[in-house]
Amino acid sequence: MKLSNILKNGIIKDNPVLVQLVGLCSVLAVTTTMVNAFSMGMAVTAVLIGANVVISLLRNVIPSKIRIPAFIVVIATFVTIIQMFMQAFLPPIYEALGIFLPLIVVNCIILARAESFAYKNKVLPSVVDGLGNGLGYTLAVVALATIRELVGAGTLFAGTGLEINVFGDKFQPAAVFVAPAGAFIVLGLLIGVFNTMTKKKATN
Amino acid sequence: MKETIKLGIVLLLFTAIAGGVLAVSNNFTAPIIAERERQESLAAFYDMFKEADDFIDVDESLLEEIKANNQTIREAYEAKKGDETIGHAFKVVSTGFDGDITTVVGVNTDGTISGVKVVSHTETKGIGTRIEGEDFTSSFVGKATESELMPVASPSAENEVLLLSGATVSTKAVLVGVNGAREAFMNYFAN
Repeated sequence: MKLSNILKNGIIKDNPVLVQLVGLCSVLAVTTTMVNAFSMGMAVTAVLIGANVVISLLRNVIPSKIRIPAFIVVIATFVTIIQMFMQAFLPPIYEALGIFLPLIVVNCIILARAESFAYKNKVLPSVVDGLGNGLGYTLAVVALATIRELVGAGTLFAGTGLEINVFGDKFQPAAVFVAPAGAFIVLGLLIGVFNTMTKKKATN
Repeated sequence: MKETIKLGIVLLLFTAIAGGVLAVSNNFTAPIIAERERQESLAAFYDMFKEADDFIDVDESLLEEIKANNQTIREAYEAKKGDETIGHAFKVVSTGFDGDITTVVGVNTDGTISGVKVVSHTETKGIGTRIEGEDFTSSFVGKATESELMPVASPSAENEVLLLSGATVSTKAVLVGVNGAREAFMNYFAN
């Protein structure tokens, strides 16, 4: 399979959030602001690439009978390292992501890519696969967070120096959109829109 | 049997290497994290004690004793202006609506609260996050530490602070921390 196809599969055809619907727990939780969503996307991407590389390198060493515990050890190690470095160098983001950062360990996107791709492929395709899925995840959560933040709080880029109060002070935000229920509503709509768009492309 | 042992050894190797890698990164990041947290509390302390020029840690054995009797206290400092002690600063942790809330509390030597600042929390955005706001934290300033602080909608008495309507749980959680600092001050530092 061509590398560009692997990348495209991760981002569009098999988008982990909008098509495969895996790892939704963190998707629903961290998408209250764009900045949180983007940071979580970057953390997931880093773990995906790192875990894919190591597992692909070790694919002939890991006995298939104990592959799942071996994968989990590799993934947990990467997540913990990222957690430590975020706490040291990006404390506001570390605080914002809270429990969902360590929970990347059990995010099924990462285990799924390890099991179905990295364990069976060479290093370079595995890197591209990790990158593709990571970007697919990031794009989906950032899109979701943008809508939720805009409608639910009336801001964009909240939490950074660039914060914009889009509708001015008179705007009464629909707080339900930053609440958990809003996450489900927006995610549902987003999946619908995304799949309609990609389906049209396929039939043309 | 033989295979089981072999698989066990492979897994042992994996975890041993992972442990080593983690130990190295922890060794590298732990001091940075500790230093940064210290700087953060110090910055908040200087805000509360405008006149202070230094903050020194209270005696370690005393801190241990305070911690043993008071679950909210994490750190305690003396605010110094030259050689004179002008107050005490505490870092407290309490359980909020969603996770821990870390608050720093300053108490003047005369037993009034010099300031309260919520330094970290994971409360609901737009609701519980109001505990960071000036409206809320300024309602603590100048209150007496003799009796337990109570949240009310329009505070006036010496022991009343602002209750944020809609964020009762978060408000009370901060109060648990502040009251912890208040007790520690009354029990160990008040003259």
